[in-house]
Amino acid sequence: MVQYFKSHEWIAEKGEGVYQMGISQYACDQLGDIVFVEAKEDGEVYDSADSLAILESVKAVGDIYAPFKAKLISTNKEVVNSPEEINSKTWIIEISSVDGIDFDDLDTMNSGEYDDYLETL
Amino acid sequence: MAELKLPISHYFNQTNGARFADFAGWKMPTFYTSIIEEHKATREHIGIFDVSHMGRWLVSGKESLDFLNDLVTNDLEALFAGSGIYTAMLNEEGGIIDDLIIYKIGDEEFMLVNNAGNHDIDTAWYEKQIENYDAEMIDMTEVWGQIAVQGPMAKQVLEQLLGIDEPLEYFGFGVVDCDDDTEEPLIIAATGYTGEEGYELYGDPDILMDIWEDLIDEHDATPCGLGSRDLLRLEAGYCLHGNDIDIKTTPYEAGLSWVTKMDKEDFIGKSAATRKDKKLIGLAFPEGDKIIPRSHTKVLNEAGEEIGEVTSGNFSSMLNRAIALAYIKPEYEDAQVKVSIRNKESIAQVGKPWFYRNIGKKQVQEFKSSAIVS
Repeated sequence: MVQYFKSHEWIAEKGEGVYQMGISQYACDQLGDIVFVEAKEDGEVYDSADSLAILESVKAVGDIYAPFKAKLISTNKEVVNSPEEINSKTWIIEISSVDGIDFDDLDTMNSGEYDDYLETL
Repeated sequence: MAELKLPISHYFNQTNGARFADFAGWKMPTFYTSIIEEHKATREHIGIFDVSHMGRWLVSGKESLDFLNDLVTNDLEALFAGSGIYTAMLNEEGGIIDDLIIYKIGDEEFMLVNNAGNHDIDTAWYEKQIENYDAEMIDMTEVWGQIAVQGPMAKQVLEQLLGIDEPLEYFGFGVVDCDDDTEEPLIIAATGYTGEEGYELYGDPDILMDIWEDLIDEHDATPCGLGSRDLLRLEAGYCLHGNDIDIKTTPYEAGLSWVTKMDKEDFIGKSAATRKDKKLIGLAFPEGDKIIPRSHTKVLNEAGEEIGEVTSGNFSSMLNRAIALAYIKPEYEDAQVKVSIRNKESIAQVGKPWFYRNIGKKQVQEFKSSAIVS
């Protein structure tokens, strides 16, 4: 199940402690044409709220932040090679939790709640 | 907050997926489908831009020529009716209040176009300066609209559409005969802000929107927002007031000496116009370097000391790499130049402040590696 953060990333549980992250349609729209993606190094551990990847568009720059202390497992190569193809369905990075987290305890919203949140912006 | 002004394409924008931004008090489209697609359409075929947020003025009177010639850096004496010039307008200290285009309609009649973001400041300045002259200015900004039709096919298509037999030369302008009920003239000028050939049209908003729709429906023109316009003008090396030029910058610093006629008897700011404490340069970054040096990014020398600042930067799809306009201290003109973004350094190639133009012929500046300071 996909959950959303207020910072417009989404996170989905892939299984076996691995999570995929991407950005919402709202974030895609705000950024416009993405010209490159640069992720931090795979295999390293990052603190909660560290930037794990940067999405640079002709209009602006956006980050994907670590939602918890996380190990960066991999970056989607297709996204790095064709950043213009990124949409709200594309996963960008895969991470795992270092300390072990309960997915349900994350400060996230389901898609209905996220839509409501967007209305307030 | 004051209500935003609406450009003439507003209804079209609302019904065609435009994303909006508040620009100088106007609700302007930033893009319709994609900045890069709109940029490409303009470089390859025709892009159309609603630029009715620009300030438009009619200047007339016995001393209108003297008034304007004292007001701006370029020389209007040499201008003949049916042509226009680009110019800067300075304060007493030589700083650029705004950059303008002035068209000569007749001996005692001119049209002046200023930037939307400076409209109020400019208006106050005109009012102050015009007092001593037998001349008057009428603000046509909310009477006439303005659209820009730009791209390699723009002139040909528009000439055909409007029944123009003789293509206008660069910066030429004229009035188009069209059968309509409006009392406003339809003015056409061979100017633009994209580095492509094309025309800008001034006139009754309904007439302009009819042309707009016709260009899209019959001639495959692409409506473009301010996002692609900014990218196009950056590649062409056209300064944006507020970014690359401002009240603290002289025309000589901004590479605008070609529109600053020091042999003219006088103009406001002349005594300080040649001051040059910094120099505008173009920077091209290596292909594959994943950085975009945006406005205010520090420019460093080899030792990492700050020697200047980026004023505009983006990713150029024409050059397939990041490009920027920047000011550096003049003594570092031949130095190696780099930027540091997110702790990653990228060494720039240094050149003139333009990158790509296709006016008359296609020109791409070849950037050389910057000199290595030993």
